[in-house]
Amino acid sequence: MDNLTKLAGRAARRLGPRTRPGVGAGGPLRRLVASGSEALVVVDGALRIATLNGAAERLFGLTAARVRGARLERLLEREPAAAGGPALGGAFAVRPREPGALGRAPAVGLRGDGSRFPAEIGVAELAVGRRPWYVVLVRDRGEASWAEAALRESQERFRGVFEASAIGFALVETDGRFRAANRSLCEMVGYGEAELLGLTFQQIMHPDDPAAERAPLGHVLAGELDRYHLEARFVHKRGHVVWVVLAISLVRDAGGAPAYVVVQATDITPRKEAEQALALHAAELERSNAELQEFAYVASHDLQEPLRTVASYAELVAERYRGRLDARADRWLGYMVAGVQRMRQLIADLLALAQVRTAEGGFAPTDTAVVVARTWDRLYAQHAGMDAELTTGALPTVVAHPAQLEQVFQNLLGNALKYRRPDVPARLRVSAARTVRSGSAEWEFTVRDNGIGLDMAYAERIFQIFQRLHRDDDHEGTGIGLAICKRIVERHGGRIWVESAPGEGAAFRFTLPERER
Amino acid sequence: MQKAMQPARVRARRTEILHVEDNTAEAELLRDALADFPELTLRTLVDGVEALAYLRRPDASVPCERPDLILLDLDLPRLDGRRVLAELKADPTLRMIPVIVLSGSSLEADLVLAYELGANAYVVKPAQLNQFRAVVRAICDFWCGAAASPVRRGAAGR
Repeated sequence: MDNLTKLAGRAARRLGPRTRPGVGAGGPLRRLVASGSEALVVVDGALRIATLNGAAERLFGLTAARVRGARLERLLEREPAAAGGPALGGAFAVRPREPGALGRAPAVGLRGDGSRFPAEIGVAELAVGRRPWYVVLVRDRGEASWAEAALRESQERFRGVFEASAIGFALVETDGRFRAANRSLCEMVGYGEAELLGLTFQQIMHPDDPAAERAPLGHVLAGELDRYHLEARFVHKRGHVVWVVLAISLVRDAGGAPAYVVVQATDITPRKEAEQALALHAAELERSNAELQEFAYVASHDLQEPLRTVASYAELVAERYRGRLDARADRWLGYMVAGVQRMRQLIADLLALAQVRTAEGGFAPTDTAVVVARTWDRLYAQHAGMDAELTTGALPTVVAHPAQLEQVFQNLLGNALKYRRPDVPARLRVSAARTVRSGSAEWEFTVRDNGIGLDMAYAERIFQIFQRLHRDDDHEGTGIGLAICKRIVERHGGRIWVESAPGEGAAFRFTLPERER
Repeated sequence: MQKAMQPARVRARRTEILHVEDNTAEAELLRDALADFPELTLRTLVDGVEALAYLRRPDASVPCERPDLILLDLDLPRLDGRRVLAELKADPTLRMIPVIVLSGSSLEADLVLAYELGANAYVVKPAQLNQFRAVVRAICDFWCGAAASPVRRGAAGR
């Protein structure tokens, strides 16, 4: 006899004086019945209900007294699908093949309120006395299956997320060995899942990752940290580096001890490569700035030196041998000297342009009225006897690089004089207006003249280096002055442009943002 | 004995200018500019190593055998002008000789470094020939004339 039969026998014995005399108390079945963990119905050989326990009363929603003596069909209906199965007393599809054996069958439970539920029943025949008794165990199949289905669904959902995710997933044992890894992770590092499961997590980490980056993983694995995010490097099976963001979280067992670690890895290699390209670009920029400084030195010294020699000796020859050569030789020597002077001016202007960005000294509150007055005095002295007049509006104090701001006015006012109309007195005006543009205040300066003006088709070009609209002989200059202005204004965070028409003078405008010191 | 030696050293001596310049065209230009100063002796050396060797030759151990003024270019072969300047100003027997840096460079970095190294003046060579002449003559008028010099005092037989 198996244990269940013994249990069933004891259950039958303790079912009460009304059913069997001399039934003792206690034992496992009693505990089973008392615990209420299983719903039990006891029926006689005619399937009349002898009694039910508390769990069964709760399951069916009625008391034992209400159904005692009623047929089992009052509580259970056989399910049509189970027709071919074992029978219970002919009416139910459960037939113990031998005494004490438990048969199982699906059924439909009928609650006291008339509602139904899918049930599973197990039946044991009790070998007590001459008449057969049966103990029927009833389970609510709906509850069980719904829970099972929910669990299955949840597992499948997790499995689906785990497998199909673009994020690399791995479950890692506390000793670092892989317990599972999804396809994304495998693809990320180039290993098959089976290969990966033979490795430890540390083995796919980059050996050069600073200790600071490897340590937190260790802390998590040792159970000291529950969650951690970090940037790290994997080494692909083929040897290249894969940049990842890792989200590492510890899963603890029911007792709170570290069980395993869930690792999520997102491939950020493209972003990292972009960052590195950017850093490389910045380094190149720095190098090119250094080269610009180098150029500045070469321009200031190494290029000037031979020019000086040519110019000096041309002058020396002109001086010592004047009259001893013919007039043509004198003229040619004059061309040499002029050419060299022009070359020197070009170099000086290029140097000034190159040094705009690296100018020494900082920005400071600068009174533009003073700057303009000083600039005009100097220019006026250089053009002695010229009929020219400058008027100014109210000019503000701005935060600027004083020497560079002066250079801007010097170039703009100098241009205005250079491109004046012949035989017309030059009339220049410098004014300023405060405007607000997209929420931030700025000063807009205007340098207006009554000169020859220019075709607006060239309005952009004149701010480019070496772009000149006039032949050398008409107007001296290197074509760098406005490029320097543009670079200075832009370094100050402003813009520069021109408004003009041929014969109508020109208005050069530039802005400087109004800012705190 | 020493008294007997002393008068031999104290001879009528011309003012000596040492020009350290590797570019012979530049050197000749300077020589030409000083053509009106017959009382000056101009010695031109072409690099820093030669210049230091000359200044440290054994018979230059007395002040009157040293130049009154050094005109120094910055970019020199073998030993750069900046290094020469640093060596001169670190040498107790040579540091009192005035050194004028005569350079084509207008870079602030060169200017500042030269003064930091102890240059007595920094002169950017003017581009125009007549301005160059004027500057060179002004330098010689000042440093070989107006300015008092321990070198020339030594020569005077103190």
